[in-house]
Order: sequence, then C-alpha cells, then structure tokens
Amino acid sequence: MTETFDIAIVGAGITGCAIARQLARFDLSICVVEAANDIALGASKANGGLVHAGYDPTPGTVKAQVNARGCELYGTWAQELGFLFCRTGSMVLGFNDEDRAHLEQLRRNGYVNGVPEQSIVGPDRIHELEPRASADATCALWCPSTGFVDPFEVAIAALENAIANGATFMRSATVEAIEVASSGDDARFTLATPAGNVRCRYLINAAGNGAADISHMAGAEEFQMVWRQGNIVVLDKEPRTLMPLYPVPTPVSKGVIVTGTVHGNTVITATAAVREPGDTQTYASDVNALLTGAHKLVPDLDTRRVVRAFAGGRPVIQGTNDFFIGQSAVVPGLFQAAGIQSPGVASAPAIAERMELVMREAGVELHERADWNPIRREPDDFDRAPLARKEELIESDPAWGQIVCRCETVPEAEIVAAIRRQPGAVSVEGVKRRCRAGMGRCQSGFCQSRLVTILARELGCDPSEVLLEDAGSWLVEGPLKGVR
Amino acid sequence: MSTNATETLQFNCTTCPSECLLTVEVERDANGAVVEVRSVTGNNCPRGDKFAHQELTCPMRVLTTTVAVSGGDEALLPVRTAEAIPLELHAQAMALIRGLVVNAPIRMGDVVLKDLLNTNINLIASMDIE
Amino acid sequence: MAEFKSNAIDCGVVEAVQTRAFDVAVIGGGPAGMAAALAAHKAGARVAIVEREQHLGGILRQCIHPGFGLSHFKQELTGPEYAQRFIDKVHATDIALFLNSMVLGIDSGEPAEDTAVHTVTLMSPAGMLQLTGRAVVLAMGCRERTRSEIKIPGSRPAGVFTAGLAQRYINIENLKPGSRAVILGSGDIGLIMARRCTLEGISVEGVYELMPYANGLRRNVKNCLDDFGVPLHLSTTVTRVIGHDRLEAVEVSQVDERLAPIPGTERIIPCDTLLLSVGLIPENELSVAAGVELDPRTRGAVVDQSLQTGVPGIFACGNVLHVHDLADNVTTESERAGAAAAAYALGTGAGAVPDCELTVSPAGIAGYALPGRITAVALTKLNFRVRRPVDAARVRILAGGVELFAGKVRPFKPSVMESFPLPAKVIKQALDLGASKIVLSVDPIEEA
Repeated sequence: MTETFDIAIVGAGITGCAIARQLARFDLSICVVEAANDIALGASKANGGLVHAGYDPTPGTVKAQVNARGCELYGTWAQELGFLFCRTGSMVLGFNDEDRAHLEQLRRNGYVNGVPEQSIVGPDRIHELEPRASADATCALWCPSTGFVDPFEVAIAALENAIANGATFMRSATVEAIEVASSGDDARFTLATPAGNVRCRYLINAAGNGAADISHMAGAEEFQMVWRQGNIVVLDKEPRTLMPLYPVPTPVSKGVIVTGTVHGNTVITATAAVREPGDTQTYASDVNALLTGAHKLVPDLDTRRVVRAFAGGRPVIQGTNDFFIGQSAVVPGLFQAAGIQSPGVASAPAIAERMELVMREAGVELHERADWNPIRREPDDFDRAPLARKEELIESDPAWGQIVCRCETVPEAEIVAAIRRQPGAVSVEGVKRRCRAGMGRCQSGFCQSRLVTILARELGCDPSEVLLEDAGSWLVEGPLKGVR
Repeated sequence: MSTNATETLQFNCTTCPSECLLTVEVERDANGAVVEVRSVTGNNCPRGDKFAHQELTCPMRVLTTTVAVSGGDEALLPVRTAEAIPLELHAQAMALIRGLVVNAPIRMGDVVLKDLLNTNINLIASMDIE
Repeated sequence: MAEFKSNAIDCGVVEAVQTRAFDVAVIGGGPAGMAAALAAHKAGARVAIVEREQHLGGILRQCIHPGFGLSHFKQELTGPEYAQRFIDKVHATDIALFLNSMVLGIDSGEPAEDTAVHTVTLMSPAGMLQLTGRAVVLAMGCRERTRSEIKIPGSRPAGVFTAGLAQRYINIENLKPGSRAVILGSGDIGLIMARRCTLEGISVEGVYELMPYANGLRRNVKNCLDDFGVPLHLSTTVTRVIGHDRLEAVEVSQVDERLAPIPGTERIIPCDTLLLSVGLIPENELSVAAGVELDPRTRGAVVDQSLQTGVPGIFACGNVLHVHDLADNVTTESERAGAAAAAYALGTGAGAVPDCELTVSPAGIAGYALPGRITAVALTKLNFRVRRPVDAARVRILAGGVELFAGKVRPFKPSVMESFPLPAKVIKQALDLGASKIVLSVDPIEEA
C-alpha cells in the first residue's frame, strides 16, 4: 500500500508536530510518519518542559535565532492551540562574584539574542520574586519571558490542529528505507515503513535521535548523533508553583534547574552525560546529583515526594552544539530539522516558522488555504472546570462523574475522550500524557486496572493486548479463573 | 538395621498471635518420613505441642482463593475452605477451582463446592455478590 | 506578566449545587469509615458515608487471605468476611450511603453560612453534591509507596507493579499480571502476595528485603514463604530495573549496615514482573487542603486524645491517621473517632474548654507517638511503633526531664503497632511539673 503526499514529515516529536501545524495552513497534503505508536515518545517526552528565554545560546548560532523567537511565539500558540503555558519568568541564581560576571555575560547574550526585559537583581528582589530561592544567592539574572509548558500537550495540540486542517498521521511506521527518484519527479521520495509506503515530493527530517539515520537513508548529509542523556525528577504538587530557577550554566548544559510545571508539580531537570544510544535508564548517581543540585537552589524542597524519575536522550549532532535547520545541500527537496536538543521545546514554534521560510526560499510554493482554522478546541479538563461546569458535564454524560484517577481527579469520560480524539491514545501512558490519569502520586497504583479495562473496551481488544507504552509493553496475561 | 535419624527443628507456632518459637526433636526413617516427634519445647500453652505434631505429620492450612462469577457485579468471588485442609492438597484444589464458575447472587457462607477433594470440608463464599 | 490559559467558562446562571445536611460525614467506606459511622450512628447522630467505589469494604475486598478478626470477633476471618460483617451492620441502619462518589474537597466550595458546619463536596455519576456536617471523619486509608519514591534506578518497562495493584489484578479483575515474579519488600502484603502468586501459577523467584530482618509477621513468613519454598533474601534490594518494553530482569544487590548497595554483589534475576511492597503512606491530600496539620513522622494528622485534628470538628482514624498492621485495631480506633465525632456534632461531649494543652513526642527508638496532643486529664491510649527490632527495651514516659513511668522490659518489633495506656495521674503529674510536653521514649536495654 502506498499513499502519496506533498510533504512527509518524519518524526512526531514536538518539532515534527509544530512543523506539521505550521504547514497545515497551506494547500498541501501532509503526512506525519512516526516510528512509535504515539507522538512525542522520544526526546520530547523526556523533557523538563521549560520555555527558556534565549540568553543561553551563543549569539549567531541557529539556536540563538530561534530560541527567543520561539519563547515569544508561545503566547499566541498557547491561545490558538489551547494548551497550558505559564510565563512566570525565571532567575539564574548567582552565589559569588564569579557567578555575577557570568550572569552579566548571559545578559549580554540575551540582549543580542533578543530576549526582552532582562535585568540583574539583588537578594531582596530575588526573594520578592521567588521566596523559596536560596538565601545564599547574592545576585540573579531575572528574565520575565521564561515560562513552561507540558511538551506532550504542545505536541498533541499542534498535531491535532494539523489533523483538523487535513494532515494525516501514521503511527508505528518506522522508516526502514528511503528511495529517492531523479529530481523533477512530483513525488521523488518513497519511504518504506511497516505501516505502508509513503511517497512525497518534499521530505522533512524531524526524526530527533533518528535524524542521522534518515539523512543517511536519503543519501543526504552524513552526521552522527550523540546520545546526551539526561535524568529528570518530578516531585508532588505544591500549594504554590515554583518559578524556574537556574544555576549558572556549564559549557555543555544549563545545569540542574528547578521549576514548577503547568500542573503544579515541581520538576528537577536535568543531568547531562553521553551514554549508549537508546539508554533511557535512570541512574542513582544522576538522581542524587539532581536532588543535591535542586537543594542548592531551593533549600526547603521536600525531595521525599518523588512522583517519578525518568530519562531520555537529547539529539545532539556530533561536532556541533547547534541545530541544523535547512534544505539538504546534497538532496534538494529534503529539509532537515536535526540536532534539536535543548532548547528544542522553547524553540519549536520558531523552528516551524523558520522551516516555512526555508521552504519558501527553496522555491516550494505555499498558498494559504481558505478554510484554514488556527484554533484547536482543548478537551474538557474536569479537575480545572468550575463547579457549575462540572455539573453540566456530568449532566451531559454520567461518565463525567465516574472517577477513575483519584490523584489527578480524572473521570472516565475524560479518558474516553483522550482515546477517541485524533490522534487518540492507544496505551496507558498515552492516556496519562493526554489527561493525566495515572500521572499522580500513586503512579496509577489505584487506577491502572481500570485504565486497562477502558482501553480494552474502547480499542475493541482483550485486556492482554493493552499496552503500557509501545509494542511489547503488555501489562497483563489472560484470565486466571473460569478457564479450564 | 535401623537407619533412622533424629533431627532438631525450629519453627513458630501460628495458632495464636503469640507465635511461640518451638524447638522440636523428630525421628525420621530412611525416606525422611517422620517416625516420631520426640519432644516439643518453647511453647507457652498445650496448643503449641498439638501444632508441632500436626505440622510434622500433616500440616493443615485454610486455603483462600477466588472463583469466577457469572452474572454478578464482580468478576471474582473470594472463597475459603470452611476449615483448614492438608497443605499438600492446596495445589490440587487450586487446579480444580480454576475451572469453576458460580452464578450471582451469592451470600457470604454459601457453599461453592461441597467436600473439597474428599476432605469433608466445603469451599464457601467469603463475601456477598449481587 | 504571567500568561495562564484562561479556564473561565461561560456558565450562565450558576445553579447552586444540591446540599444535604448530616451531623457526621464520614469520608471513606473501608473498615475505618464503617466502624466510625456505626459508632456515630449508635451515639444518635445522622451519619453519611462517602465511598468512591461502588461497594463498601475498601481494600479488604481484595485482601482475600485469612488473619482478620482474631481480636474483634475472636475468630479468624478473611478480609472480605471481616468487611461483610460491617457492611451488613451498616445496611441494617439508616446511615446514608454515597457510593461511587469521590470527595473533591472539604470546605473548599461555597463557604457555608454557619462557620461551625463543614461542607464536603463530592462528585458521582448522579452529579455534584455537597454534604454538610458539624463533624467530619477522615477515613480515606492509605496508598502504596511507589518505585519512584524509593528511587529504584533503571528503565521503565511494563511489569513493575505495587503489590496492591497486582493483588487487585489477581483477586478482583481476574487478570494474571505476569508469569515470573520478584517481590521487593517482606512486609505482610509482600509475603501474602508471594503465596497468592504461587497458588495462581505465577512463579516467585524470591522475596528481597532491604532490612536485615523480615518486616512482616512470623506467621506470614512461615505460611506464605516457607510453605511454598519461596526464598527470602535479607539485606538485599533491587538496584536496577531491566527491560525496554516489558520487564526482562532485575538487578539485586546486597546492602551494607547503612543500607547502601555493596558494589560487586550485583546479581541479575530474570523475571517479567516486579512487585513492590515497600511501605504505605496515609492519603492526606484532602486533609491538607482542608487545613489539617500533619505529623511528618506518621504523615497522618496531628490529633488529640479524641482523634480530633487541629481543625475543630474534623476527626481522623484508620490508615489515613497512621498505618496499622491489623484491621481489628483500625476498627477499635475508628469506633472511638466516630463516637467522639458524634459527641462533638451533638454537643454531648465533654466541655468545649480543654483541661490542658500538652504535646506528645517520641524519643529513643520510638518512630512516632499518637496522639500528638493531649487536652484532657483522662486515661489516654498512646500508640507508637519502634524503628528497629530489639530483644529488650522498655517504654518510659518523661516530662520536664522527670521519668513519670517505666514499663517492663520486653522485645519490640517495627511490624507491630504498640498500644500503651497513659493513666490520668501521669498526665496530672506532668502538668504539676509545669511541663508542656510529654515524651514517650522506648529505650533498648544493653545486654549485660
């Protein structure tokens, strides 16, 4: 089976989804091809969700050009796509004169990179802005434009909007080979995947940690990915959400950052160590480093309340610390969005914007559709709904009153909606990332068996076929009783 | 020619929450079968002595498990043996119970299976199911 | 310049949520909630129970093993049998039952006109509802500690379950969670699950325990492990989870006296299922939101001798207050809380003015002491648990540096929640000394 599109985007991470959304406004058919069975299962999943302001990248780099712009665009994107975005501002805490000099350097970078309204502040202002920041901090770079999102929610909102505007999503479609016909062909690329073949005229490589493989298969630029692994810890909800607090960065990473999340948790992110590609294990040494680092910034943090620890790899291109966004110099019609490591989440809307520009410059004709709708209606969130809306929802369907996840107050109807939306959840973790069922402090100890039942019913399969995440992650075998 | 051997064992009595630590001297034949329980010490009451003898000849336990339910608001009915049955029969009993299906409604104490494996002990429901 | 997504939804006219009035609202329909409700009802109060499941009984419905009722009913019952007896008693009364109902908040909705009345907001498939009561009894129970809380490193495949979740799959859902299991934690739940798994055809490779001693009752070690030849590995813990999609193995390591893994002792145990029985935590999110102060040691509410929390009219009992090892003790405690809640709601209790204000603190190897506050000069039941097993120790009661009482020398185990009656005269002595604090100290006696 082969389907033909104008554009195929390989990779449904936050980058691929953002590009799909950006291009869905034009009169072109788009297919997003994803190796996993759901979106954002690679680098986008193992991420702290920070929308960095943009003072960190070295001026002149691609990162520097898209980070501050991405941060700026998040305001509009959040409104149009209906995802949670908290622009709280952030502080980089300094503890001595050497740090202060470093903060000055960051501020100058930020100025060049277009970061608005930064200033260096002293202890009084630090504690006014974030009372829980360490009392040992003598100075800080205050940056009001920093914020945070749930990266999965951003990716899904973007892809839902792209699909609503006609895009197609193919899951479990690992690209195994790419055939490139002579130029001039209307659909010169043919991608072979287990889910069917995809032909397209333009190919966008947004494959994250798989970007080097895709480029190689297409006969384009040869590069190597480095698996710069990071561990991340999520703590339980706090009465007041913490503002992102950063240490002075090191040459390879921003260091251990403490931040609130859009759901009121606290996240400690992230370590950085080059490890075997594909290694998503957490390490005791990394987790300890996170907790130690976090205590330096927020001394009263209760690190007993760990809800989850996880890890992932940042897609770094060997030999460069920068993003690679542009048309392939070897294979025209192939567009690369590779090496999208940190600050990939913060930059995503601007990477999409830049991709549009790059394609226009390459001569791709982009005509806006008359029926393009930039608005995505977000799903009902029972927990956040006012009392009267809660009543209305239950009246519309009693399943809104049937609690499933008690930690995050997620009723059955919200879970069913997460499965039925396009692209819907096909796994327990997919449900969790869409509506938070199982994301809370009990980590689905109470609700997992109910989620299995609901998924089996909605997907029309046996409970033994319900997956935790991707293929092979079965949760239960068959029945124990009533069988001979 | 006697090849019997004596052996000293230690285990807790589980008759009551005191859980006395019993020291038991037993004589076994060449096949390891208990010939005689020679002495029991460490028990604070006569039940410990009885328990030790039972434990070395034929340990008895209450078996608790579940049975599939048809037509009820639960998939499984918790069940128990009304009294303790020989521990060595538990695996056999489980194999038998695996295929059973009972019809709702059921009341606590209802007999699910009479005379389980000729023990003269019934398998009974532990809970109501509507 | 915070930019939060607007959640304002135009609802038009806000219909007031329906309200029903009671004297005592009990949150939770497990053994604690049922016992509290029955006691409050017996004392003449109008009582409601709110239970999130469709049946009463709580976690006992899945605890199908025997070992319940030895003290309360003087016979050995299974968990469901123990629960059914209380369910039958509740059904024989006019206690209002709100099943399939989840409490979203206490006093967090519309402020009640009468500030002495608490409002409990709940959701159910029938709609939103508010219950009012002068007294509220918190009986929400506890949850299990997770893999994340004990920070087991490694990958995150399917097949890592808390013991209670596996118990639910096996005993309630009729689903087999795997074929080859490793159990971490030798508390009673871990031991019970070793037997359940074995009986249901899931091979148990071993039970691993961080501490140098088994955490559960001896009878459970004998009946659940020894009976089936399941090995117990002490001073050993899981140090890595292995497998990408489904669990493939765990790495276990021996630990030193400080409980740190010893490098070089790692062993790989192939398995498809890891059950965690690594502790229980009182579920107090609702309590905290209602303004109830928690004791960091128990992670339950700070209560006085009548089990009243720091918020007047809100009482707590059972595993939401402190983790018990026997359901029978939950029942006894909850009956006290229910009776006290009814007396408070009906105004039939002792005078509203407290006799005294004393705090109670643990010392020595006592991990906690409950109640944390004493406001009446009367015989007071103190509960505590030791942090490590000792062959010989004694309980001492101190105030202002003076020893007021010393118990007899005996062994103590962390698996047993201890109970100690504090005589009124000792409280009086403490007050006479001008003390504001009573110390419950459990002190090991050095071997001669």
